[in-house]
Amino acid sequence: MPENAPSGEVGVEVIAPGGSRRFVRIEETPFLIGRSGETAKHLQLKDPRISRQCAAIVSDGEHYFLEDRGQRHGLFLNREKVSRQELTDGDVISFGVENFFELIFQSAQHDSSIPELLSRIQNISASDTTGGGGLHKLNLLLEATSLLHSRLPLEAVLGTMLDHAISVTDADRGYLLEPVSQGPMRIRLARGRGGTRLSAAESAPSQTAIQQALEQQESIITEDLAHAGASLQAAESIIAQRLRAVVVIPLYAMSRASTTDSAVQAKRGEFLGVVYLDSRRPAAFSRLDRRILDALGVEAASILDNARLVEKERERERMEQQLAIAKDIQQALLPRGFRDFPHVGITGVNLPCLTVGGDYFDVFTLGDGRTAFIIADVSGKGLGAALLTTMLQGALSGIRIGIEPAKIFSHINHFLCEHEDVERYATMFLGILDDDGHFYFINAGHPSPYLIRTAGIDEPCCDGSFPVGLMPDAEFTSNEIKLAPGDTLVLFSDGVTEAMDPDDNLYGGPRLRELLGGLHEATLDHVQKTVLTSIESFTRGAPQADDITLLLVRYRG
Amino acid sequence: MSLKITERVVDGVTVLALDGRIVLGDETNEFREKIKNLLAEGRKKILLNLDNITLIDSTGLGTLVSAHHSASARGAYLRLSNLGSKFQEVLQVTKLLTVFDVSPTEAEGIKSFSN
Repeated sequence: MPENAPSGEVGVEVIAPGGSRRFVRIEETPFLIGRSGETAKHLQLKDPRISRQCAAIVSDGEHYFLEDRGQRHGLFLNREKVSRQELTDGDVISFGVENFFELIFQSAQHDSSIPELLSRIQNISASDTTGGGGLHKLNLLLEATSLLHSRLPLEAVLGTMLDHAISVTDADRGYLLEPVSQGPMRIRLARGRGGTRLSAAESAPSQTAIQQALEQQESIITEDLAHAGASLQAAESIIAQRLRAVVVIPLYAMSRASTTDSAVQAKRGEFLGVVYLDSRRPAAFSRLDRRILDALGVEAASILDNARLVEKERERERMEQQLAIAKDIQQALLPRGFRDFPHVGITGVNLPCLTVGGDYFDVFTLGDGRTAFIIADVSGKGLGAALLTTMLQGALSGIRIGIEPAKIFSHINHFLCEHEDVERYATMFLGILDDDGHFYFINAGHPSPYLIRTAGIDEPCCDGSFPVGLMPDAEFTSNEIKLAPGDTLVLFSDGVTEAMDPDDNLYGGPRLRELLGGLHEATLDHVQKTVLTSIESFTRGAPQADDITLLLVRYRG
Repeated sequence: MSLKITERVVDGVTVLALDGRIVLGDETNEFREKIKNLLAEGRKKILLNLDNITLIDSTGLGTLVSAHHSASARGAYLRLSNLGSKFQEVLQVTKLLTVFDVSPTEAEGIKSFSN
C-alpha cells in the first residue's frame, strides 16, 4: 500500500488498467516515464505498447510541464494530444492506448490526501469484503468523508465523491444530476473511470432508471440488467448503450424541520439530485459495497445541501451589501447643513423602518429669499418604495430651475398613473416660504403639518389634492397662508402618527398636537428630540411598520 | 394572514364583509384577487363593508383605489359602507372620500345601488 502523501507534495496518481491506484512522488525533474531502463527511471509502466522512452514531466521551478519524449501512440492530456503542455492539478495523462494506465497529475496540497484514501479503500475492497478488512474499509470511508467536508472547492469534492462511487461499483461512468425547474435533470458532473472527465453533451444516463428511483424515492441497484424488470430492460438508452449494470442513488436533504423526530422517523427534505452509475459489464456488489454506496449517497446529499446553504448565505450577504449601498445613497441624498437658509431655521430626521425607506424630505433655496421644502411618503416600504423616492426627488428638483411646482406634481401624477404596474403612489407636501412670511404650499394627500404659534397649535394645510399616482385626472392647486416670526411648521410622515405600541395602539395626531403645545419657545433641535423621545417611549421598542420622518421649519422673520 | 373576507349577495349586490387589516402583503394580494375574480364573473355591484377593519396602510389604500378603477373600467360599481373613524380620517387626508361612494350602514349601501 502506498504511503499517504504529505501535504504540499507533487506527484502523479497511477491508475492501472484494473483500476488499482498508487501515488508516485515527483522528487526530481525531469520526471521520466516509460517502459523500462534509464529513460523510465521514475515511473515504469510495464507494457509493450508503450515506448521505452515515453514522456517526461519537467519544471521551470514554478510550473510543471508534460513533454512527449517519443510515445509511439501519442501523448494525451485530458484526452487531447499534446507535445508540450503545462500541467495543472487534476490533469489526466494518457498514452493513446485502450485499456491502459492513466496518470492524474497532482500538485495541490489538499488533493494528495483524498485520492490516496480512496485508493486505499479501493485496494482493500479488491482483496477483502468481510470482517476486519471491511471495518477498516468503512473507517477509511469515514476519514474520506470528513475530508470531503473540508476545505476543497465544491466541484473537486463532488468529483472525488463520484470517482469513489465509480471505483466502489467498478462502473464505467458516473454522473451527478441536478433537478431543474422543467424537463430532464441537468448533468452537473460526468466522470469516467480513473477520474476522467466526460463531456455532458455526449452522455445519456438512462432516464428510465432515474425515473424509477425517483418514483420509489430510494436507490436502484441493478447488478445485471439481463435479470432486471421489463421496463428497465426495454429502456431505449440501456439497449442503445449496451448497459448491463445501473445504480441510481437519489439524494435528499436532511429535513431540518423535524429536529424532534428520531432518526428513523426523520422526514426526507428537499430533493437535491441523483448519483447515477452504469457499466457495460454485469456487477456484483457485496452487502458492504451497498452500504458504502448508501453512505456515499448520504454524504453527497449533505455536501450538496451544505453548498446550497452556503450559496444562499452568500446571496443574502450580496443583497445586504447592495442594501447598505442603497441606504448610504438614500441618506446622502437628504439635505445637509440645515442652518444655512435665510429667514428660516430647519431641522429634520428620516428613520426608515427597514434599511431603506419610502419617506424622504428635501430643502433648498430658490433665490429672492425663498426657501422650498418637501416631505414625501411613497406607499409601501423598503427598497421598492425607496426607488421611487429618488425619482420624486429628481423630478421635484425641477423647481430649482424655475418650473411651476403644480406642473411638476401633475407630471409626476401622470407618470405614475401611466406606469400603473409600479403599483405605488405617494403623498407629498411642498412648501415655499418667502422672506416676508408668505407661505405657499401644495398638499397632495399628505397629512397637514402642525403649526406651532404663540396662540396654540394649528393645522393650516388641510386643503389639498389627491396623492400623486392614484387618480389620472387629479389636479394640483396651491394655497397660501401667512406665517408670523417664530411660527414653526412640524411636517411629518404618517409613520409618526401611526407609530404603534406593542398592543397595536396608534400614537395618533392628537397626542402629537398636545406634545407640541408646550414647545413654542423651544429650539428646533429640542422639538425634534422631544417628539422622537415621545414616540420611542410610546412604542416601547415595538417594531415599526412604517418609516418615521420629521421636518421642522421655523420662520425667523 | 389577517384579513378575512366574507361574501354574500343581497338584492343583486355582492357584499364583501372585510375583517382585519388591509395591509401590504398577503392581505392586499388576497383582496386584489378577490375583486379581480368578482369582476371577471361579471358582478357589477360590489359593496365593501369595512366595519371590522382595524387597520389600513398606504398599500391597502392603493389597492382599494385600484379596485375602484378596475370596477369602473368594467362598468361596475365599488362602494363602501361602515367606515370607522380611522378609515374615514385616512380617506379624508388623502381626499379620496370624494372618489368613493360611502354609506354609513350596509343596508343603506345596498339600497344606494338601486337608485
